[in-house]
Amino acid sequence: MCEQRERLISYVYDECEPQERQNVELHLSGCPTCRDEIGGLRRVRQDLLAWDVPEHGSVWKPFAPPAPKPSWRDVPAWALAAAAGLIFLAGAAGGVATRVLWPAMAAVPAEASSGAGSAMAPPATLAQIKADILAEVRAEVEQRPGSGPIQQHQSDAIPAHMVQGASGASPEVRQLTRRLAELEQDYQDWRNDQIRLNVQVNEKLVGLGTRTRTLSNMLDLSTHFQRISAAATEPAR
Amino acid sequence: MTRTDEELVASATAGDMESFNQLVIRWERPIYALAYRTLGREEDARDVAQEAFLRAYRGLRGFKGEAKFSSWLYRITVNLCRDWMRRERRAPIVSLPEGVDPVDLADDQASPAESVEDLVARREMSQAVARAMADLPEEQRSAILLKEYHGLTFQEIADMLNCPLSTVKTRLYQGLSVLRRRLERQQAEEASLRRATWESSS
Repeated sequence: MCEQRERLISYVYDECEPQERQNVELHLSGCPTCRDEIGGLRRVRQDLLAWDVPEHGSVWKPFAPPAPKPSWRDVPAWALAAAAGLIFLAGAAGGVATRVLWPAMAAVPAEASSGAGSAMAPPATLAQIKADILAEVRAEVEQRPGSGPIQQHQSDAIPAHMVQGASGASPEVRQLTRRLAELEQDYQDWRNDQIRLNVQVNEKLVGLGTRTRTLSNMLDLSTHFQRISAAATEPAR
Repeated sequence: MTRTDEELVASATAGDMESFNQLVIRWERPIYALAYRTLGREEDARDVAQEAFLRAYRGLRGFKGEAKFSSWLYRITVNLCRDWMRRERRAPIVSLPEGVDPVDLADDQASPAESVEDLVARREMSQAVARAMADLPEEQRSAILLKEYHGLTFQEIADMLNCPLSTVKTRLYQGLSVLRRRLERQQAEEASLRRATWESSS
């Protein structure tokens, strides 16, 4: 018996290089034992083809596509929660924006506004204007003959004696004093408007808070129903 | 246009279940056949084939495409069959019918042109092969099954069975040689039996 097992197997299964194939064929032409061996291997391979596998059904239950869900289940719970949070934040941001943006919108110089009554200035600007006007009035009154130094008041209100003192003052001083009084009124109006707005914002926030809680409760219910539904549709183990 | 295994694997990995269904449809028969010829019983083959596809599905993300998908699937099946036989502590079963039912034969005819005699001979040969294969050592049987019925290359079988290429060829040669002797002996015995039956009847 030739020691050609590996070469014969490769040859029988036609899994060898062309050169190797030629070498085996050359060997077979002069070796009857290997020729017989090759013949036997080919016959047994032929016999193996007779081994049938019985017919059988599918061994696999195909994956079903995901079942359609009710519309309310299309929106994930986290998205609903996020939406509720956003609404709440938007409401809160609106309140904050009102506080921040309102004074900025009114920060137009008083000289540029068409009417004194419509001028809306932030407190810092108002205070500055007021201080400037008071300083001017004080300086003018003190310069008048017989006038002594005027005591500076801490109150926001214009001192009555200043207004009285200014009655005999020059037209510029009187105009400034009137302007100061108007600005003071505008400031009060602005504060009242702001308080009113704050109340409205807070009312909105309370309403949003209620709605958020309602949404939150609905989400809890939704999660609960999903769990129940999943448990009901899960195949029995 | 038919999608390749690799394309279907990529889609299935991305979550497309239908792609995995397509892979199952494509490879169900070969995997079942390998399990059946290794274990010899339909119920066992069915269980192993199911388990093989389930493992493939679970391990799809771990399949890096270094080997062909089919080779990977065959490896899973071969390992499952080994585990099965180890667990059951038994060699493959060869189920032998008590007799030949003509109605059964009619269903099994390969073609209308095949005569009943040819059909009987084919079935006898099928059983003879099954018996002879069941007696082979597991390594030789696996090598022959993967080569003869699934057309894997020597290298693919070597990779799958974790052995050198030369070992695969040796196992094939030894296994085929044993089969050849057994089948020739069986054929000789059957021929002798037929001759004796014919002589006694005449």
